[in-house]
Amino acid sequence: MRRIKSLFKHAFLILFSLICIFPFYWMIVSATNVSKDITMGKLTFGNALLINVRNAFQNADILRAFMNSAFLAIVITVLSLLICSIAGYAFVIFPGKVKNILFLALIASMMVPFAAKIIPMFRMFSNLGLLNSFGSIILPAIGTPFLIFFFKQNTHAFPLETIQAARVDGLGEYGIFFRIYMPMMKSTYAAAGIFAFMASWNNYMWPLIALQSTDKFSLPLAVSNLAAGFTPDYGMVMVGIIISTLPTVLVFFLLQKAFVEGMVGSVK
Amino acid sequence: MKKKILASLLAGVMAASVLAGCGSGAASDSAAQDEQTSEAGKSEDNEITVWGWDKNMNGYALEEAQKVYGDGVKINFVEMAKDDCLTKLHTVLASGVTDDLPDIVLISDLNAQGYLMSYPDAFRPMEDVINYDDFAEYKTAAVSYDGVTYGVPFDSGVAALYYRTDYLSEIGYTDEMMQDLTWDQYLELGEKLKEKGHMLQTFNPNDIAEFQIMLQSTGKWFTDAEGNADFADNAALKECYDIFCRLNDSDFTKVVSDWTEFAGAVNGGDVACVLRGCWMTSTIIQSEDQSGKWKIAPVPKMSTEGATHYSNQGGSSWFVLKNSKNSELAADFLSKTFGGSTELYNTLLSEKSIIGTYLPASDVEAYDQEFEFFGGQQVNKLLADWMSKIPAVDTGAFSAEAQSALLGVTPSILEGGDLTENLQDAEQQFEQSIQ
Repeated sequence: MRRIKSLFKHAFLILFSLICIFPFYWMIVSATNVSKDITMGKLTFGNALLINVRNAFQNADILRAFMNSAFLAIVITVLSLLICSIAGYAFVIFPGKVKNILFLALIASMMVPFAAKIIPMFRMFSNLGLLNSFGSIILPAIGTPFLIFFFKQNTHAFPLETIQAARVDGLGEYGIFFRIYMPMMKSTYAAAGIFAFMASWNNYMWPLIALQSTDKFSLPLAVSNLAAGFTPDYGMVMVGIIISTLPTVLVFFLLQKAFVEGMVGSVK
Repeated sequence: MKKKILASLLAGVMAASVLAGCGSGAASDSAAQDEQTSEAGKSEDNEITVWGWDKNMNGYALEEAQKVYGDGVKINFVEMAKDDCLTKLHTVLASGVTDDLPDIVLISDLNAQGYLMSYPDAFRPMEDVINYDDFAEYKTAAVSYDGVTYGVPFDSGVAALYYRTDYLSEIGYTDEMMQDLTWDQYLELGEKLKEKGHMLQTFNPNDIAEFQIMLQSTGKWFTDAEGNADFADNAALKECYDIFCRLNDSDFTKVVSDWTEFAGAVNGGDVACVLRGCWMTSTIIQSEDQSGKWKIAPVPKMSTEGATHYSNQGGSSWFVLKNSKNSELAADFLSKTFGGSTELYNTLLSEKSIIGTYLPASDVEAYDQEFEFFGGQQVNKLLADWMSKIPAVDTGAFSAEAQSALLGVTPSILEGGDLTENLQDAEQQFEQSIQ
C-alpha cells in the first residue's frame, strides 16, 4: 500500500517537474536549430548552434551588455543588501515613535505601480543629469521597500539577548551590526541577495527608459533587440536567452540551501 | 504648528534619502558621471541620434543614407525593439524633458496618428523640405495629422497574395488565373486544394490583421475621417466578417494561434496561399527547398464598392523631433536621402529588398531584378506597381482600439450571432475605450 502511495507521489512529482523543465529543454534545443525548424516545432537537437551563436554575437553586442548587466547586478546587490539590512535592523532594534509611521509609508510605497513613477523618475534623473548613466539604474534600486520589509521581518527572530550581551561586553553599535548580526543572519542575506540580484538582472522597463545609448544597454535590452526584426531569428534569440538565464540559474543553485533557510526565517 | 513639523519632517526625509542615495552610490556614480561628461565632450555637433528597430533593415537603411548624404552628418542609431521604442518615446515626450530627445524616430504608420495627436508640438512639420507629391498617396495620408504632414515616408507594406505554383497547378490553376481573383473565386480554390491534400491558407480566429488588408483595398478603415467607429454601417467591414466566417466554417484552412505556428505552416508547406504585406517575403524565402515554387499575385478583390486588388499592411516612417538638438540638420538629412535620393532606394532595394514609397525611384534598375525563388518573377517591380495604386485611408489614431473592440465580439459573430448587433456592441465598447 505504502509502495503504491509513494509510486503515485513520485509519478505526480515527475510529471510536474517535467512540465517545469520543458521550457528550459525547449530553449536549449531551439538554440541548436534554425528559425524555420523552431517554428515548425522541432524538439530534437539540431546542428545550427554555432551559426546561432555567431549570429547572436554579430547582431548585438552581447558581451558588452553582459558586462554592463553584471556590473549593475553586483553593485546593486551589494549596496542594497547593506542599506536594506541596516534599515530593517534599525526598525526592529532601536526604539522610536515615528518608526511605525515611516514603516507604514514604506509599505504604502510598495503599492504604487512602477508605471506611475516612470515619468516623475525620468524628469528627476534628467534634472540630476544622470540619464544614460549607470547611476540612474543603481540609485532607485538600492533601497527597495521589499528588502527592508524582508530584513525587518527576519530581524524579529533575531535574539535580542545577544545584542544586550554584546553591549554589556562593550561592543559598539556598529560592531554589533557588522560582527554579530551580519554573520548570524547569513541565510537571510543569501535569500535577499538572490532577490536583489534577480531583480537587477531582469530589470527591463527602467533601464529601457533611462539608458539612451546602445553601449550602455543591459542584457535584457540587447536580447530584446535580437527579436526585433520583421522576421525574428528564433535560434539566435534562444542563444541570447540562454546567456541571460545562466547567471540567475548559477546564483540560485549556489545559494539554494541558504535561500530556503532564509525564506523559512531561521536563526540558528 | 503641526503642519510645519510635518513639512520639515518630510523635507528632511527627502533630503536625507537623496544624500544617502548619492553617498552610497558614490563610487559608481562618479564613474558614470565621468563617462557622461567625457561622452558629451566627444559627441560632435553633426551627430544625429535615431531611435528605431531592426538593425538589419532600418539600421542598414540609415547607414546607406549617411553614405548618400556624405560626411556632414554622423548617425547614432539606437536600436530597440519596436514596442520598446514606442514606450520610450511616450515617456520622453510625456515628461516634457527636451535634453534627451533623439533627433529622428521611426514610428510605425498605424501608431503615427496617435503620437501626432497626443503631442502636437513635438514633431517638426516637414512640408517645407519634402515634396509630398513624390510619395505614394496612401503613405502621405498616414503621416499627416490635421492637415499638416510631419513624417518622411519610408518602407511600404504593400500587400500581396503569395501562392504555391506547384499546389495550384495540381488543381489546374495557372499564373494568369491568379491575377484577377475575387474573394469568392479565391475561397473556391480551397475546396479544390483540399481534395489534393493541401490547405488554402492559415486561419487564426483571434487575429483580424487580414482585415487591415481587406479594408484598405476598398479605401475604407475601421474608423471614419472624424475618428469615430465605423463598424455597423461599414459594408466593407461586414464583408470582411462574411469572409472570416466562411474561413472559420471551412475545412480547408490550417488553424494557427500565433506567429510561430503561422510561419511554421507556411515554411512547412501546409498552405498554398498567404495574404500579407511584402515584408512576408523574408519569412517565405527561409525555406530554400521551396525555391521556384512561390509566386505573387495582387490580393483578391472584395465585392464592396470601390474595391481594388491593392492594399497595404505595415510599414513605417521617419519623424523629426522639433525640440531636439540637431533637429534642422536631421530634417535636411532626411530631405536629401529618404526624401530625395533615387540612388538610395536603388541600393536598399537591390541589397535588402526594401520597398520604399518614393515614387521617382520606381524606375530604378533594381526593380528589374528577377527572383529565382519566385520563379523568375520581377517581384519588386510588381510590388512597386501595386503600391502606387493603394487607396489612401485615414487610419486615425485609434486603429488598435478599434481592432480590440472588434476582437471582443468576433467569437460571438463566428458562433452565428447577429452581425449588425455585434458590430453595434463593438462600437459602444470602442467609444468607451477611447474616452
